[in-house]
Amino acid sequence: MNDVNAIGQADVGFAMGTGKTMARDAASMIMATDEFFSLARAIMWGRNIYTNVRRFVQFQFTCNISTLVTVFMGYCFLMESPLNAIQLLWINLLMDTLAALALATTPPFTNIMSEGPVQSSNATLVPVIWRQVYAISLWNIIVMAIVIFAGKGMYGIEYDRHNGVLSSVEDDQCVIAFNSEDEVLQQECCN
Amino acid sequence: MGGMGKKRHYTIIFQTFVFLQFFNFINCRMVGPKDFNVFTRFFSNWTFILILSIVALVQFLAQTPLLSWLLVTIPLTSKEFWSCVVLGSTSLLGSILIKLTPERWLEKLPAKMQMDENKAVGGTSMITKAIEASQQTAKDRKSKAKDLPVDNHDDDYHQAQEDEEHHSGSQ
Repeated sequence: MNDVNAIGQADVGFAMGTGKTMARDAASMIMATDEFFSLARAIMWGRNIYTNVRRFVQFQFTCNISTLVTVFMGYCFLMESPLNAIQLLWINLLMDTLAALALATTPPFTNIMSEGPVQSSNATLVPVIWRQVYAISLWNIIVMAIVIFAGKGMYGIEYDRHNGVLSSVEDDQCVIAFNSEDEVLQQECCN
Repeated sequence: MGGMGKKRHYTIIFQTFVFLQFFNFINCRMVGPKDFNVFTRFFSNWTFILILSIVALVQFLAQTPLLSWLLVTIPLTSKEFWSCVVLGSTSLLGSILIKLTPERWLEKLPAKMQMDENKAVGGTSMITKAIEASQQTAKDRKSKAKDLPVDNHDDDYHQAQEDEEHHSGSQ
């Protein structure tokens, strides 16, 4: 009875299922099984949720920053996006839906109970996450810059940036231009 | 290669980008400051394995007519394709390298991002007033709970139940 106040003031108050009504009313969680070990199990899964959110946020931030910078870089130096709309949609599906499903279902690892409680002041965005986000995004951007700007030399590809065709619409236009007997149009398309 | 040069280059860009994210995905399984082995208990989560396979499958099918029309890609030679995978896997290496840096560097990174609610909303508004009101109600309730007489039996609860039974029985 004396712990009702303590239960009420705690962030998450626990009460036994067979406990007093007042204690149960004040508690956020009531343990259906009357074992004390259920408490440890609840804490384990609670910490696992925090870890899973960190996992997902880390991936999401990294992926978003590198996509944004890569596309921006493409528009600045190539005058077009290096990734087209469908590819960006697939990347978005990958990083929102699939990554959330995959990383949020990770079961707790054995060391989770020895790592100490989650501090409420820094619940998810701890410095370790920021370090990983900055470093991996930077790494991704560097690799993408190398592939975009040095890729032609690396893979022995040769094309004129303004002449090459990417989208099927441009392809069709060029075919039409070739089929037509207008020499001016042909030259415009192929110069 | 000839005329397909640009498309080939852009296919390589796409493949490299997705494989960078693919291996970073594996990186994100471990979020501790010194978790060097990102493959710890790799097969404990079958959803994760399934989704990794889906991503790898789509990237492979982007090389075949089945998906290349959709993703606007062309078939690469196996050498080019695997070089994209290798470039992507440097993401794993990057994660190990950053975990090797001294932990005191972490102190320079932001530990938390807190904002002043009043400032964010732009002065005292309806929402801040509502928050204050709810805080006041919570305080009142707490002080009321303190004043309650402490008894060792759940008399009120049982009494209410009995009353209810009696009431429904009499009807």
